[in-house]
Amino acid sequence: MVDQGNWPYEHALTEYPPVALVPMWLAARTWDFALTFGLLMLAASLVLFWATVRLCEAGGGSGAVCAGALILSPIAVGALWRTHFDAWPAAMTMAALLALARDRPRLGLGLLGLGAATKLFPALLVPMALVWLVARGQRRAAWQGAAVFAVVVALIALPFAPHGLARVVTFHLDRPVQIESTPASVLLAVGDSSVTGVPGHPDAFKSQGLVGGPADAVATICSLLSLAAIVAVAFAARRRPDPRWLVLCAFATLVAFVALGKVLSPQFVIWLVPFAALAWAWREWAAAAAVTAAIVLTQLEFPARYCERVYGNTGAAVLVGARNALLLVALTSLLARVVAPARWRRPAAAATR
Amino acid sequence: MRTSRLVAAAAAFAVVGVLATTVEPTSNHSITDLSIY
Repeated sequence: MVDQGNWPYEHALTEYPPVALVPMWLAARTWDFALTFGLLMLAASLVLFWATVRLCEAGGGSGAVCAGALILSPIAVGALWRTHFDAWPAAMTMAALLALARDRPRLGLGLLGLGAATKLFPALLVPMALVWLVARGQRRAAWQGAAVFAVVVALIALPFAPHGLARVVTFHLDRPVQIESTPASVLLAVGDSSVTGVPGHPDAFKSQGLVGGPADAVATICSLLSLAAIVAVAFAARRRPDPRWLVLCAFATLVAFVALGKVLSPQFVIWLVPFAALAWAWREWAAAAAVTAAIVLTQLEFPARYCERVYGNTGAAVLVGARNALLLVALTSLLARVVAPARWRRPAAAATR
Repeated sequence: MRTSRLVAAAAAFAVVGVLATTVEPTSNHSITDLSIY
């Protein structure tokens, strides 16, 4: 389609930002899409590996422990590493955090811009990163970084803007509560909502969701809680100017988005893998264990039990609910770590060991 | 971590990654059977 000179957002129902289309386009030009796509994700994963280990060391942790956790992570995640493009923006995110930790704020914010032009979620880290830079006394670098982020996003988005790029945003705002999300687990307990994407009830968003009854209200409440957590973490980023604090704040931000958002696609756990490895190396036991267990449960559920979840199997619903509960445990642990008053937290000396 | 060890660890990560995503039980071959995502 792109090869034929068409704009991707005018002629196809794609909801991915422009840079996400690059690996798909590259793979489609080869004789074996799956193999090429998998190799591209492997390359991205190696960047993620390097950046995460170096980030661990920048935060005063053991690179060997972090590397060990990352080496085991594909077993916990499974085929999602290979079949979805999320390793690509996750690698950009970790490289961005490493650049920020190494005092390269403009490069860091630029990489976040590139990541946001791939899958939006790295943009969540921008306010927190800017607050952290200002707390380090780098107010000028913060503004310059914000400008670099805006320029990178604009340069990538502007050519597509008149050709339906807004769909990337409206798709995600308009879609219903996705069936594996935390709001969906709540709705399952409450009842009165119906499943979309099944025979007789089509879904326009290429997924399965829950609509009707209290679905909108529950989704709104969870979204507001997620937003409140993200804002609180962004303010808390000013408390300490060290790299470990930056990463913990980024971890809390992404877990808040994943655990409380109205969509929790299985591949989202790839974003959390490097942070879980860092948490193991930095002895953030609660967050590390909860997120790791959530990743394993995600593989147990998807794809083998996904259809069971859609058609109301109690066991599959409990499995997904347990996964979501673990993510909420991780969120609570991280919020207690970075947002709670100082007298509730561990002493700084222990925290930066 | 010295660069040589980091390279070795990255190679181990790549090998585990390839095996875990292509060999059962973690390869989840049915993942491409679903029309979603």
